[in-house]
Amino acid sequence: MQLLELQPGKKAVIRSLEGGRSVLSRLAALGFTPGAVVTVLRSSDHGPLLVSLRGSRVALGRGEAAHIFVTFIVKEKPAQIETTNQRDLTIALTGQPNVGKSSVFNLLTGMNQHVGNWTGKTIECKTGTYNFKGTGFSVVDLPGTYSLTASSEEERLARDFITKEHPDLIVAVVNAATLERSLYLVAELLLLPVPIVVALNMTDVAEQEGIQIEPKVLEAALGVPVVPMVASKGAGHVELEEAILRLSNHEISYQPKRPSILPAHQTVLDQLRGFIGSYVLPIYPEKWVALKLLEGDEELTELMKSSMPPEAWENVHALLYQHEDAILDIAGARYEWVARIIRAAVVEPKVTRVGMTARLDRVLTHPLWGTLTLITILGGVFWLTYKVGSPIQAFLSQLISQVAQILRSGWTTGPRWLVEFSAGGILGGIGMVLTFLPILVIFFAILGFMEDTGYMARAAYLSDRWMHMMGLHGKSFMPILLGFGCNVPAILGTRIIESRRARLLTILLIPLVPCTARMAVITILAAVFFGSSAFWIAWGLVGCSLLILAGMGIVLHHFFFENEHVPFIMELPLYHLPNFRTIGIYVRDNLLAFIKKAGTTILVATLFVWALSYFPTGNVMTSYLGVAGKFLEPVGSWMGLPWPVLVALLTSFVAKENTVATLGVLYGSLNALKTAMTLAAMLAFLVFQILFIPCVGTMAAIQQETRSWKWTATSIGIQLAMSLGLAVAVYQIVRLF
Amino acid sequence: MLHRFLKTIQAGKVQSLLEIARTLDLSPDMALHITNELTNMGYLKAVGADCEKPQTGCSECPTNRGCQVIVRHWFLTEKGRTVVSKISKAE
Repeated sequence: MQLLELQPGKKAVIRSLEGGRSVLSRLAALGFTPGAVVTVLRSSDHGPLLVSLRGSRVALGRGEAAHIFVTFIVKEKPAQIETTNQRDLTIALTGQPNVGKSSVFNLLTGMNQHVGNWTGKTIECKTGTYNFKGTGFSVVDLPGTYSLTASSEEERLARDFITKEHPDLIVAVVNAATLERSLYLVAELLLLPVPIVVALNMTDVAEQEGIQIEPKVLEAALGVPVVPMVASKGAGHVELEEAILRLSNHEISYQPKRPSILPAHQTVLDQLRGFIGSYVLPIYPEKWVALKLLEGDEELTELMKSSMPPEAWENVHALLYQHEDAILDIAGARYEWVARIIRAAVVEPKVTRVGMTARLDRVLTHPLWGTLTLITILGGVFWLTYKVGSPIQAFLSQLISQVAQILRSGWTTGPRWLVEFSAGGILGGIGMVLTFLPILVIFFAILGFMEDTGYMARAAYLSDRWMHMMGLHGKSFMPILLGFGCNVPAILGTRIIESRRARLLTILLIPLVPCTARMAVITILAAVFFGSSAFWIAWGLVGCSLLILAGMGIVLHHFFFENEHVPFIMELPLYHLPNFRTIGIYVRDNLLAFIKKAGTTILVATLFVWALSYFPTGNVMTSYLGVAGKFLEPVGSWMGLPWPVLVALLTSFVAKENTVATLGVLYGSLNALKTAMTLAAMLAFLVFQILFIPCVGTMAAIQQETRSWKWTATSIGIQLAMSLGLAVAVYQIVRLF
Repeated sequence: MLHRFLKTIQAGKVQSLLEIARTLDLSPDMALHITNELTNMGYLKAVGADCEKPQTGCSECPTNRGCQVIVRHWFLTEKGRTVVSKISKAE
């Protein structure tokens, strides 16, 4: 089943991943690999998934999650690892996820396998045996791990087996196509007192990608045997078995070239060894424990703390505290060691995706050319949406109106309210909303395309650059960027800001960010009001909205944030060809969510509005809504807006799309609006709509984060005043022309 | 290596992992690996990581897929800034 189907709190094992190479690579970089145990922490119908993976919490978009397939963990009777006397030698098979470790294991052991669980754990454990030239070997397939830091259950199991069970030999499987990443684990394994053979797997994939690896050079650089393999095709296993046997028999020299540490830290390490020497459990190598303590390894720190008398531990603690940043040097030395080996043994292709991305980024993230491209692409999104989607919407709208008309004239036997309920309430409201599906299909397809190719991240990057250039930087701007998707996570994102005042100001600023829902409504209404010119209007409105946001941000930063500089980095994925399945999933998810909402929240709100507009007289002007709406008329007159339009705007507080549904109910057809309002009033309405108070979800988030109704009301007040003020200004200025 | 990584972020001249990877002659994968490592060590913090509990209105929002962070950000923590400042003084 898909990871998406897993309920919150449930745990499962990743069975497979589907999708293009870039998607798989990205997921692998996040740790989503076959065999990994994943627990869903949060899952809403259409929101992102929050999962626990390898000891970390990872937020995953539904599009990404759709590529991951999982199965439930079947609790089996815990199996003991077989290291019986019948076997001569025990081999631990290690490697990062996705390096083909299982293929190597299958090649070595064939049918002689036993699958169970690690003792007391739910993680699968595979053991197997084989004979080579008269020597018996027992192979233990350790869980895939990125390092030996014990930050996850898998890593803890792998390192415990190596350090406590003392295998005779380790086979480290590395992926030749991603050797740089694979070698980090090798750097850690070399520190353990167990001989290693490196199985350089997937050399065929590396070759296909133009990566040339010199196994002999790699062997010389590592100082351990290296065996090139294509395990999936059965190539190289005899050579691997030969290398294992010869190393076991000490027939080949074993002189590993381990990553070094700074002389200053070597002294500290010696001091540490002196402190802990007599307290280290015999199962652990003392030098390794000292190094891990210096690296801040929590598990070993706790173990040593409990094994040592308090006064002895105090010395260790003081030394560790004094050198708490030593981990940067130790881990850094490993990365440099990896880089040196890569430089020596690997020749990268001249034309790579990295190189192509760099060349494209020179234009697409350039302050001027990149911005012009972004403006053009944004314009193109609206142009294509209107050019293709609007005619289809107009046709569907006409169809809905005709069906409503037929219903009214043909259904004469039923009660009049029921006929009106069906024709005006259901068809006029929800039906009208659904006619916009073609426009949304195109809109979301283009957004999905931009996201899947990697361009969306560049758009965010460019926005950030501009804001940065205008002095808008720091912790407040980062959550603001999140707001372009949805304001709610942006409000939550302000938790990174320590200062309460700065956080509050950022929270007040975020509702000015046009979220996707507002953009969708503006896209719809601009098409109705301005026809072929809608492209310019929608594009201009979004631009103005961003300018207002930037203006407000600059004021806030200069007067309240004192131009604080918070260094940060962002991830820009490599460009790649779009995967149409992924885009399809993106569009499907968004449309299903929209339809679901149309059938629930919007339906209830629409029918409520319809009931108020129908009863008690059956005439909207004399209905309850009509009577109440007349109180809005004075406000509406400042912008040339009739009261039903203001009522529609008010219903957007529940959900932004309600505006469209309510207008459908009150006017029958949105096209009727063109005759009810002047051009200036239509423009004022769109300005009012894009800047109007955010939806109830955002308001709830503001209340939750500020823990203050006063500040929630202030936020509403600011948005209301600003949207009303600007809408009136736009109306009054435009009508002069 | 990791000191240079943190210093490059602190300098503020590059703001993307790809640029850092280019500057430090690393692969993008490795730059991401190092970023995650530095985040685990507490020198960097991911933005938006606090968006983890279901919020009122999220399930009803038609565009809650947008909650997916469009672009991942990390910023230098106090611990990160302190260590960079120590390095700069030592140099």
